Amino acid sequence: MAEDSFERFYTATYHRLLRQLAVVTGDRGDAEDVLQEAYGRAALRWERLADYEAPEAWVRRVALHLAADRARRARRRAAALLRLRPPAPVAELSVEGLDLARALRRLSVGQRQVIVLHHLVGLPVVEVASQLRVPVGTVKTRLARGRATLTRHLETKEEVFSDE
Amino acid sequence: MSKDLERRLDRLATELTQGAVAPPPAAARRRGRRHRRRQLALGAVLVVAVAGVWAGPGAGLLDRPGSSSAVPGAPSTVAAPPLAVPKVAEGQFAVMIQDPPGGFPRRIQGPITNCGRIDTGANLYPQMVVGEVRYQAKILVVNVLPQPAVKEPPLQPRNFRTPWAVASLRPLDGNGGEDQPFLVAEQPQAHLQVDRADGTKGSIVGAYRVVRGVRSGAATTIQTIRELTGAQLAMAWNCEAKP
Repeated sequence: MAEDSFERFYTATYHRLLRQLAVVTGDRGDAEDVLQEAYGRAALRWERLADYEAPEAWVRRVALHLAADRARRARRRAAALLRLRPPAPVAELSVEGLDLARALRRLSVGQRQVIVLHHLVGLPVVEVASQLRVPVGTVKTRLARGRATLTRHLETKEEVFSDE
Repeated sequence: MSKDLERRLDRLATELTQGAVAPPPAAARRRGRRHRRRQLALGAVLVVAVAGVWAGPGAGLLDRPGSSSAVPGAPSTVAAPPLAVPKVAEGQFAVMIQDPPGGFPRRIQGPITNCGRIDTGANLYPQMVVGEVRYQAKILVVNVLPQPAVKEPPLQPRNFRTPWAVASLRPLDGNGGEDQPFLVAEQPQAHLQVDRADGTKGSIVGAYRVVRGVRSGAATTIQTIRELTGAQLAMAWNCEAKP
């Protein structure tokens, strides 16, 4: 019974969460990996999680934290990896998508998280803060700085990305 | 909310995940079980490590001065048997160090390259025996002050209680030795045996502490970086040349 419930939840939420994680990590493979890890942890405690109001938010939060940890480790390993293996294949992106992906890479992982949660998932600032367990002010700062960086690198007028 | 940014992010998400196929949920379950096994294994390793430090060969680690469980100021009550004095031939010196700090050897011996009187000032350090031996990329320098440090009037050095022995590692070029750690065995923990009145032959055995010199302006002060732990050093030297 619990297994059926988990499978339904998994099937219903997988692609939605993968899209969000892919924008945060900038790489589908990384997104799939952290998402699988997060689902694996959810499966371990599904009997309890199933009673949550939004188990999807739990999986997303775990995956976002894993993505942030991985980004920090990746920065340290980047030089060694470049020496050891060819660069990973890049998804075929449109010119506009490529520009945005490059601009997103200039943001910190924390800024990418709030941009995705606020602008892609559509969560209000308070909800973003609750998801990431950081103060509301921190979310606002990351949003403002992230948008400013995106605007600068996409050579788009500030008002295009202005809030409200 | 910016509709333009939202639209772009949505399109990027679609492009990045185009053609992605969700792995079967069973794969996620397997991964979850692997995660749990990793956690259990890590927990077991931690338990073994803590138990080892608490009751095993590392038990002393928790009782060392400076550790959280040590009683501040309490003298060590562990009476370790003294190290055997190494035997040395004429013109040789030898050093044995228990639980040596990083870079120091457990045992080393070699020819004495510098031995004799060093005058460092009126009423101070009237005599010093010095041994030097090359060790790896450094020079191990052994200084011994076998006699009271000063003549009259009584004036003791603030940092060491004579007689003392010092072992230090210095770069080959002889520079930068002041900020290197060095080991000090001194009274009353160390026992001196002098076979010649001028101190050119003898030995010293006892617990040591680790110190380093800290330069402050023109002066250099001594800072203890590892208090007495019961670990000992033993040195023997013989500056007598064969007739």
